[in-house]
Amino acid sequence: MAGRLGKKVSPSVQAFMDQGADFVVRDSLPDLVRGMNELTGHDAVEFGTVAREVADRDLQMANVFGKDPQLAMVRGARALINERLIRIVKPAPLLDPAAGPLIAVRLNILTRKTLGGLETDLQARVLRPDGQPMPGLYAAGEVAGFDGGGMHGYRSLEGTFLGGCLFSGRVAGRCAAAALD
Amino acid sequence: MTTQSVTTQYTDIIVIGAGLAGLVAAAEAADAGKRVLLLDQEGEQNLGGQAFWSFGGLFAINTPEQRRLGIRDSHELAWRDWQSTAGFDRPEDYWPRKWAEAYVDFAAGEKYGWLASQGVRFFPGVGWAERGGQGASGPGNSVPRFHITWGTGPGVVEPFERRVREHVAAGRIAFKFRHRVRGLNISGGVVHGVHGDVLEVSDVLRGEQSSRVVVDGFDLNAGAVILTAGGIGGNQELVRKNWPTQRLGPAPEVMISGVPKHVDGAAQQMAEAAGAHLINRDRMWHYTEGIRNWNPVWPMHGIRILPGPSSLWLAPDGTRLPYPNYPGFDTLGTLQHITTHGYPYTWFVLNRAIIKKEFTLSGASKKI
Repeated sequence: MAGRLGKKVSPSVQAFMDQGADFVVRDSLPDLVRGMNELTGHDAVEFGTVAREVADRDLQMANVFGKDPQLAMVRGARALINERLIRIVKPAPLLDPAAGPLIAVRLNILTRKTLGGLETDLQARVLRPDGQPMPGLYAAGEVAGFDGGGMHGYRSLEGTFLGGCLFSGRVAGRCAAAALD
Repeated sequence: MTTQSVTTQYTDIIVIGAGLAGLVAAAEAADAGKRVLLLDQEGEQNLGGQAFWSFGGLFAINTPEQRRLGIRDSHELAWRDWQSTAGFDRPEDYWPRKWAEAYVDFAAGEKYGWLASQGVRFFPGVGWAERGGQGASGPGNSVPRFHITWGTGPGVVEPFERRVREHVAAGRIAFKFRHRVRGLNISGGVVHGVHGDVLEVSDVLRGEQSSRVVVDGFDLNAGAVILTAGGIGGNQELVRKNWPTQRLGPAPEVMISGVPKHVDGAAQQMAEAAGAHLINRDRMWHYTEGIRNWNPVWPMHGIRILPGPSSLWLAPDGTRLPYPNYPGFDTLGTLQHITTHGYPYTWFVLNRAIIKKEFTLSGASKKI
């Protein structure tokens, strides 16, 4: 991660740029769009559309303020030192040749986590549909929606899945043990 | 089951699933003096489950790392963020909300010291996931809270694996790998054990698909059973069955998999069939920035980009996604935008300068 301060792309990201099935790396925007259409096998991407979007975005670079909300939020976050140092580039034209080559990445929906789960009370005891515990049965982690049957509701703030396993695993282990005393 | 080698054993506690939650539950129960059997349908090579493959990010509130960066966080702000992000809106959210409250208390209090006492250390730069974008009352983190563990996912697993192995050496915990639970033993409404199949030994590498050949059966009894068998993310059929079409539109025809094939939801279904209440099954957490792993470990192996906020995000025709669908802002909101528009995929357009600083990959084994 400290490598972010240097010039080179990290080896794990470079491997995807070189070998990833969803990556297109080209020196010019027309070539990039051609590559995107070659990758999908149909001409869905209009060069004119992408050129307009990129040019409009890059025109906002002349000032440190402007009307693009994405850039406004980028600039706001860069007030924080680690965002500025290791996470967010200084806003600059996408088409700056010194920052090239250009890269397009096809993004797919990736299945990962289950937010709902087995309903449990605060002792991690699994509940029946009538709300009564099933004596002897406890649940923790993702099987119980990181507990209770979905403590994230519809969305996560991230960093909450490992933490949810740690917390609910601890509760379940302690409560199951205490119930046997 | 005709084989005479079906083992019948009695112990204090049976833990089903040797992922992070199972390791913690087993270690804590053994610390309390109980004898524990820790079962998993996979082999020892998968110890730590999904946590191993994760980036090792931990949500924590008002920590030394945050304060050192000048971030002012508080329990009040975090709990407000949690509620506006969760959007609890159902009667079934009674216990989920109670757990969320308890978890935010933990993350603002005991969590940091408890982990530090076990040797968990964090990278000094706290990450900002789910930046929001829909205003102060909308979803998202108001401040960075994503504390990255030294050693990433394996660094989170390690202290708990070590505790479990110490208990194994002392005879308080025993592993039972390749034990696939098929049902709970219940008498008079009380759960007192589990039964299932012993699968043949498999020498596949961590995360790879293993055989399902049954070589034996088992029947184990205990004072309590703790289920920590994980979610359904590797079972596309079940993901599609539970997909909230009304809310999100139809599931995309092609989805890649951020977890191994054995994350199959079988134990969750087994518990439901045995009488447990399964709630909120339509709520799932799938990412919008998945890329095919060039070096796949499991079927359809996808990696998630944890993106910085500068890439241009385009629809399949090349138009920019509208505000506030920006990289790293609102995973569910952007998923909803993509799937209700029926987009089979979207594009990031960026350059070398951006990818160097703003792409972090999650779902492959790695070190920072």
